[in-house]
Amino acid sequence: MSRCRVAGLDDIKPGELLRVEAGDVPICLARLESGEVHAISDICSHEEVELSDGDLQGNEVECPAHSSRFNVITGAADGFPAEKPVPTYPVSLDGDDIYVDITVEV
Amino acid sequence: MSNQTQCPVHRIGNIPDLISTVRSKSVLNNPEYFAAAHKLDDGHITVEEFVGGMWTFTDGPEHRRRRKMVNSLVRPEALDAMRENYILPAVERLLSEALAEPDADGRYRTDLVELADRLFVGFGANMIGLTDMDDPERQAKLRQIIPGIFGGVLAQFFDNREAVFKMALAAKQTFVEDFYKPARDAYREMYAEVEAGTREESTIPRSLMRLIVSRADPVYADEEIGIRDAILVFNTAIGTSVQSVVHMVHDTAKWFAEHPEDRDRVEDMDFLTRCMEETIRLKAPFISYLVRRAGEDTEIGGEQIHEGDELHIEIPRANRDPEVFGADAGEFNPWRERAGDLPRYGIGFGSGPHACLGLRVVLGNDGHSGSHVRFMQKLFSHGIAPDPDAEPQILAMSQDESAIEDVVTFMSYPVIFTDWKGTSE
Repeated sequence: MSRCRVAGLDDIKPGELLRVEAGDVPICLARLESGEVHAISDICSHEEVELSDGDLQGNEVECPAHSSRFNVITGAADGFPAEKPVPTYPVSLDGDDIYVDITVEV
Repeated sequence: MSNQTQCPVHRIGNIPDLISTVRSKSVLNNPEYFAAAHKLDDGHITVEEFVGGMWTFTDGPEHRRRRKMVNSLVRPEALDAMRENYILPAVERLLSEALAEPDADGRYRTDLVELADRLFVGFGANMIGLTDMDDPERQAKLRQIIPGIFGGVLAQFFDNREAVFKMALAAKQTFVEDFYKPARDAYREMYAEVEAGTREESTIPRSLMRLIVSRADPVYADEEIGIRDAILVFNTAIGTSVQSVVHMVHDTAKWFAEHPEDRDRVEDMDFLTRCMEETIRLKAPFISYLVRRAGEDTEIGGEQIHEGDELHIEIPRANRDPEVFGADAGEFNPWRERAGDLPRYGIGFGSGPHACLGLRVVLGNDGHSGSHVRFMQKLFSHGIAPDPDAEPQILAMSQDESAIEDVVTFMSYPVIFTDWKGTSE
C-alpha cells in the first residue's frame, strides 16, 4: 500500500483537524483556511498525544496536552516543549477524495 | 518505593516509575486523597475550599477539555505580550523603586522574595484577569494573601494546620470578595457591551476570567469552579514563580562564585535558560512530593498497588537519580549533558497529562526566551548576588522521609546589586 484514500473533503472543514489512519499509521489531517490539506503524524513528538485532538491555528497545530506546536506543512516543531519535528506525508486530491502517501515520509 | 501498612503510601522517586505512574490511566489526580487516603482529619477543607474541581485535579476527558481551554493562555502571542508588555517594563519599574537609594555602606540592597512577589502578583493578576491592579494598595493586599492561599492548597505540608487553615480561609475570602468578584463583574460588563453591539469581543483581555465569564467550559456554570481555577493560577503564577526565580538566583550566584569564567555569560539567554532548567530539575515543584491516588489495583515498579492507595510523586528526588543524570546528579551544573531524550529540566515540570501549564511561560515558545529567564537576565545584568550580611528566611514545613534539604520555600532572600546604575540605559 502506498497511496490510500483516507477521507473525503466533506469530512474536514477549513480550519479543522481530522484523525485518519493509512494502514496502521495514525495521521492528523489539517485543512487550512485556504482549503489546502496537509498530513502529519498524529503523534506528538514530545509525548504520545493525538495532535488531531488539538487546535489548528494558521499553519500550526497546537498539541492538546502541553501546547507544543507543529507546522503542518513542514512538520517542524515551532513551539516548546516539543523539540523534534513530526513526519509529514504527501497529500493528493482526486475529486473530493483525499489521498495520503505513507511510503513517502518527509 | 516503600510502603506504610497503616495508611498505604507508596513513594515513587525514580524517573521510569514516575513517568509511567503519572501517565497511567489507573492513577488519578482526584483530590479526595486529602480527605480519605491521606487520613487528615481536616483534609476536607483543602478539597472543599481550595482544590476540588480545579482543572489540574480532574482526569480523563474533562481534564483534556479544560487543559485545551487554558492552553490558550500560553500561546505564542500571549507569551510575547506577557513578557514585553508586562514583565520587562515591570522589572525596570520595580528595580528602580527597590533600589532608589543605597544603604549607608553604599550597597544597593533589597529582598528578592518581595521583589519577585511584586512582579509576579501583577503577572498572576494579568493571567487571571483581575482588575484595577495599578493601585498599589490593591497590589499590597493581594500580596498579603499569598501565604494564606499557599497554605490552603498545600496544607498537608504543615503541622500547625489549624492556624494555616484559619489564615487560608481568610485569604480566600479576601481573594473572592475583593478581587475575583470585581473582576468577574467587569468582564460581565464587557460581555454585555459585546451583546449590545458596542464592543468587539476581540477587545476583551485574554485571561482566565474571560474564559470563566464567557463559559468557555460548561463547568464554569458553577462559580466555585471558576474561583478554584483562579486560585490555581494565583498559586502557581505567583507562588511557584517566585520560588523558581529565587532558587535560580541562589543556585546561579553560587555557580558564578565557583566558576568565575562563566560570569561574562550573565546576559546570555541560552546560558541563563540552562541555569533555570537546572534549578527546575533539582527543585521543582519546590515541594518534596505531589500526590496521586490509585484508581484501581495496579503495579508500579514491581510493587503491587491497591485501589485507593496514595502515591507520593517525588519529583526532585527522581530528578537527582545518579543513574539517569550522572554521579553529580544532586549538584547544580548548567553545562550538564542531556540525559538521553529527557529535557534538561528532567521531569521538573511533571510529565503526562498534568504537566505544568507554566512550562511555556518560564522557558518561552522557543524554549529560551521565557518571561522568568528574561527577569533573571535583568537581575544578573545589574549584578545581583546574595547579601553577604543577611541570611535568607525559610518557611517551616513538615519534614518527612521525602524531604530534601535544599528544596525549601524562601520567605525572604536578601540580595545586593553590585552593578546597579539605574534602569535608564
